[in-house]
Parts: sequence; structure tokens; C-alpha cells
Amino acid sequence: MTGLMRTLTAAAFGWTTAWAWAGEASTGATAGTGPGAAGGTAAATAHYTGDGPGVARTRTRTGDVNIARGVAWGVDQNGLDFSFSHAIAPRFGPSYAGTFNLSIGRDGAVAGSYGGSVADGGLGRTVQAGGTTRSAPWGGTSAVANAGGTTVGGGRVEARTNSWNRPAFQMTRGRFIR
Amino acid sequence: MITRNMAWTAMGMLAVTAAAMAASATATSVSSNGGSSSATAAAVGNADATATAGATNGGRAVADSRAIGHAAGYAASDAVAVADRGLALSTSAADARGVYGGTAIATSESIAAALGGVAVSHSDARARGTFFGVARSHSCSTALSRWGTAVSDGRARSTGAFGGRATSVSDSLADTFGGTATSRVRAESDARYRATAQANGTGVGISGWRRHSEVNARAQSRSAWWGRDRAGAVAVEVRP
Repeated sequence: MTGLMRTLTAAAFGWTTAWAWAGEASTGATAGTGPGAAGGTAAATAHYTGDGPGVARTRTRTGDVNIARGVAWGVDQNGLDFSFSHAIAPRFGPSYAGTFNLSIGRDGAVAGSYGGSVADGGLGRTVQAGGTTRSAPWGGTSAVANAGGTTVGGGRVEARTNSWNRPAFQMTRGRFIR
Repeated sequence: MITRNMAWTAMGMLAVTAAAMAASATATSVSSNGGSSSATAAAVGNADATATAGATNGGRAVADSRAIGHAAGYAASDAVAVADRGLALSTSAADARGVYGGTAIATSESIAAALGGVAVSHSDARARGTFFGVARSHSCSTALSRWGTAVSDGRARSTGAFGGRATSVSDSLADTFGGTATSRVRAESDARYRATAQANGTGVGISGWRRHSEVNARAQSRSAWWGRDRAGAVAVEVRP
């Protein structure tokens, strides 16, 4: 019994440690204009976790055009993780937010996600987009994307996201299989 | 039964070069089934330079990065190029020189991430400040693409001499949700003797539905002796 407990504990510990080693990049950006957004707002987040070198950077600007962008990327033994999100909200005209996330695993597996949202019309418009992408030590990659927005005093918001995952190629008896 | 993992190094041609002299330079290159990925990073003086490339089935993702910053001037440069369905070039260069107490900081960033294919990005930031001059320059340039083609340029130069101050910021982004978007930005500023010169940029493109979009923003300002100058240019074009 004690042996089993020990094994389970070791397995759980190994699992959590493995999770901690996974490379992950995530970003988010939001920008708004109009009365709902108190004149103009811009905010961005960027985050990278992994064993290798990585960069996480945000940049925001408010004024006639409110811009927010966050970028994070890094490479470690699990693969390459890249995430980019940005939002733009000019005082007049439609506001847009987009995200792009891609992970290339060590074994060749690819996971990516992208999306965007457009807010048009109304007195105030706020858009946001974000995404996360991850490459895990056992060869799995995953990506998430989210996009949305709000309008004040009429208007329309259209948002779309897309994510996919492609496992690594393998060769069996001279043939490629997935 | 033979089972072999064909990825990472398998069919890819990897080329990584990194050179550094009293600075730091990192270059990473990833490639999968589609092959060919190259990342070059060179940093001279007190400069940083990072270049990461990717590419999988479509192949080819080249990222180049250079940063030269002599004397007290600092120069940092990043370049990332990630692709899935073919080609994403990205070049970034930052050059900053500052001598005789002058400060010169130049940062450049260039990201090009394709998916449906082709996303070229370029970025260049140069700042020279001599004597009491302070010159900052910052350039960004991103070109993502989901269903194909998004070229983005960028460039910010600033020169300041004799107590002059010159700042230039330049951004450029060409998103493309449905395909094709070009965005170029220039922001140049010059300053001599107690002069101040600023120049902003910002570009942004993003296209879809009926496709093709082109944004071109340019800001230039020059000042000499006691002069003071300012320039700003913004051009946004969203067409989804």
C-alpha cells in the first residue's frame, strides 16, 4: 500500500513538474473609444513561461487612435511558442482587435489559433482579443483564441476565432502517417 | 514495424549564426517537415540582438537581426518569423551611436508570422546623438497574415547633435484576416544645436473580405540651430 502511495505521489509529482516545464505564451489586448470607454482606453498583457529564453512585451498608446499590443514568444526544449494580440480603436470608424498564436512542438506538432473582432457603429466601441499557445513536454501542443467587443448606443460587433492542432508526422514502413 | 518521428530536424535545413562582441546575441531556428529555417543575430558594442525563426509544413522562415551600438549608445533589435504554411521573412536592424556624453538609443522589433503564407516584415531604427545630443529612435513593424500576404515596413531615424534632441517613433502593422495588406511607415527627425525634433509614425493595415489594403504614413521633421520641430502621421485602414 505504501509502495503504491509512493508510486502515485511520484507520478503526480512528475506530472506537475512536467506541466511546469511546458512552454506557454499568452497575450491579450483591448482598446476602446467613446463614452463607454471614457474617451479612450488601451491595455495589453503578455506572458511567457518556459525553460528557454523568452520575450514578453506590451505597448499601449491613447489619443486620437488607441492602440494596444502584446507579444510573447520563447523557445525551450518543448518547442517554439509565439503569441501576438493587438487592438486598435480610432476615435472615428470601426475598432478592431486581432490575435495570432502558434506553437511548433519539438516533435513537429503544430497548434495555432487566430481570431479577430470588429466593432462598428454606436457611440462607444471596445474590442478585445487574446490567445494562449502551449507546447508540452510529451509532444502535445494546444492553442486557444478569444475575441469580443462591446458597443454603446447601437452598433454591431462581429467576432471570429479559429484554432487547430496538427499532430506530428510519423513514418511507418516507409509511409507518412499522422 | 518501423515508427519514426519525422519533425524538428528531420527534413528541415537549419542554419543558426550568432556573433557578439561585448554585447549579447541570440539566434534560434526551428524547422519541421517543410524545411528551411534560418535565424541570424549579430550584436556589436553594447547591443542586444535576438532572432527566432520557425516554419513547419509550408517551409521557410528566415529571421535576421542586427544591432550595433557603439560608445554609450544602446541598440536592441529583435526579429521573429513564424510560419506554418510557407515563408515568413523578418528583418530588424537597430543602429545607435552616441559619443561625447550624447545618448542614442535605438530599438527595433520586427515580427512576421504567416499561416496562409507569406508575411514579410522589415524594421529599421537608427539614432545618432553627438556631443550633448540625445537621439532616440524606435521602430516596430509587424506583419501577420492568416490567409496570405501581409507586408509591413517601418523605419525610424533620428540624429541629434550639440545639445539637440531628436526622437522618432515608427510603428507599422499589416494584419490581414482575409488576405493582402501592405503598410509602410517612415518617421525621420533631425536636430542640430539646441534643437528638438520629433517624428511619430503609426501605420496599421488589416484587410479582409474584398482584400487588398495599403497604408502609407510618413512623418519627417528637421530642425537646425535653435529650432524646434514636430511631426506626426497616422493612417489606419481596417476593411473587414
